[in-house]
Amino acid sequence: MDVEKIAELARIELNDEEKKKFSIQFNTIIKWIDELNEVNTESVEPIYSVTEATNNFRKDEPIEFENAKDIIKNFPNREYDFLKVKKVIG
Amino acid sequence: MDIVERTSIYINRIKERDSELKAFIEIWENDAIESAKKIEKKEKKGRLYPMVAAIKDNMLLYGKEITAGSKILKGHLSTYTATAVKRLIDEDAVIIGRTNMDEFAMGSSNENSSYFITRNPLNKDYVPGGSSGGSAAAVASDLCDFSLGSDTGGSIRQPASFCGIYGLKPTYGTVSRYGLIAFASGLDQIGPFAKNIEDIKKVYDVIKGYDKNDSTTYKEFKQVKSKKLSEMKIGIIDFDYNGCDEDVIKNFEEAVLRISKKVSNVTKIKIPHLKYAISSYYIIASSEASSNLARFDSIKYGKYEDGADLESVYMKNRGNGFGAEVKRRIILGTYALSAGYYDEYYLKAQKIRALVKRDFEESFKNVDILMIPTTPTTAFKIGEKIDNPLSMYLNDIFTVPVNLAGIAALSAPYGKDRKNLPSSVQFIANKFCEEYLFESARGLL
Repeated sequence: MDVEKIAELARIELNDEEKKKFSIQFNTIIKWIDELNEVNTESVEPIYSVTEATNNFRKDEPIEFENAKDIIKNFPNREYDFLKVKKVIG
Repeated sequence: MDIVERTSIYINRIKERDSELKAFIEIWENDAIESAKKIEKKEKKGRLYPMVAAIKDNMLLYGKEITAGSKILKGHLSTYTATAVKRLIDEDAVIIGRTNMDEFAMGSSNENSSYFITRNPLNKDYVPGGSSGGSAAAVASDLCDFSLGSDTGGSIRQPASFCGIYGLKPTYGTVSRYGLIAFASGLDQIGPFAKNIEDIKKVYDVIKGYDKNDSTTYKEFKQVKSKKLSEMKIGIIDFDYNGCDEDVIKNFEEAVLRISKKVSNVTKIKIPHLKYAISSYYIIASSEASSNLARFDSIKYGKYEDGADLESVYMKNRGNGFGAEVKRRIILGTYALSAGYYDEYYLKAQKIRALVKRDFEESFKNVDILMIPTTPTTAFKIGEKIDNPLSMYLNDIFTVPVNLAGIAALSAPYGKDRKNLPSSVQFIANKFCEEYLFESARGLL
């Protein structure tokens, strides 16, 4: 596993020490996970949820969230009531 | 004693004991006293009166800081109240503070908190377990009547076991996750810690139920009514003793003997895929975490450090904001979901999950309750496993299968080891059968 590449995909900066340490640890973890190959799962349907519930739709109508101002107060960077972000498109 | 007096006593006790124990990240002294006074004046008191509660630092309480034990959320104030917490308040419980936890609920020792390490109340050199270690330690050292934790792979039951108290992981979908900071949404479940079965039941009855804000809660479900212990069929899970502490096994066998005296129908049961639950769990939980934790980019909330461009802002803030275990899990999850590896890891793990679930369904055709130790060992020393993530993961070997199957389990203390640390029995029941858990755990008293 290329730790540096995967970390970049996940947008996580790692220092050299972490890269080294994680590589060793992931080797052990992946080797352990490979034990799953002992199980024949050819005819098994995977499950993604334990409740048998299907999509639980509500009417597509806007609902007022009463504490919207508190969300804005939590913004690390803002101008007026807008969230300020770095340039997204070059 | 009324609720105002009880709240003050707990606050004083926290001030006395918690500088060493470190179960709490923050206590809300003034708010707790104020709400206690209001409750005391009410003519008709709620079902939880006069109880004082603590909540894990991943459950929202409007206006209060919440961080999930992480640096990345420092300073974030809750913008609403979690449904489970609101239900406690509606039934007149006083919320006294937020408890320490492994960052984003990832860990089995509380050593992954970005604040400090919570100590085991029974021996300060040992971990309290995790990830809800603060909630467990707070109850075990009488700093509150009960607390809430969250359990994704054992994070309520394992610390309950390490601290010698009761901890319930309810059926998935019975307690709302609205306002719980998500780790692995398909596995996370909120549940109570307490010193006795009656309090566990009381709190569970208050927090359970449908919530329109959590679409995975069951709209209508009937709690299965209990039957007498003597009429129950009990299955003892035939598990691999390798890696289990001999004192844990001895205590477990004694517990089985005690139950066997009260129940005529006790059999051994095999859960054929139990062994594979743990590795499949770490793939599924890490994959869900890598997706859930993508929102923590320091742009919408939390601590922000500036960088040259958007990409470097993400890299820097997530690199500095997350601790080692959270990074490991996000990376592992990203890997398991990445092109070329999805079938080999994620899909394979979800198939194993289906097999584990089926094993349990089969077993519940023949028995009402399953028994297995909660953990393979008692509490370990602080620092002992921190550099060996795999050995830390393996501590959850008996708890994760329950989350994969979405069923219910209760950890009940039974016996001590040679170091005088507690060990526990885990009672497992089919979904909606929490009453069976309470009844069977009473059989150990």
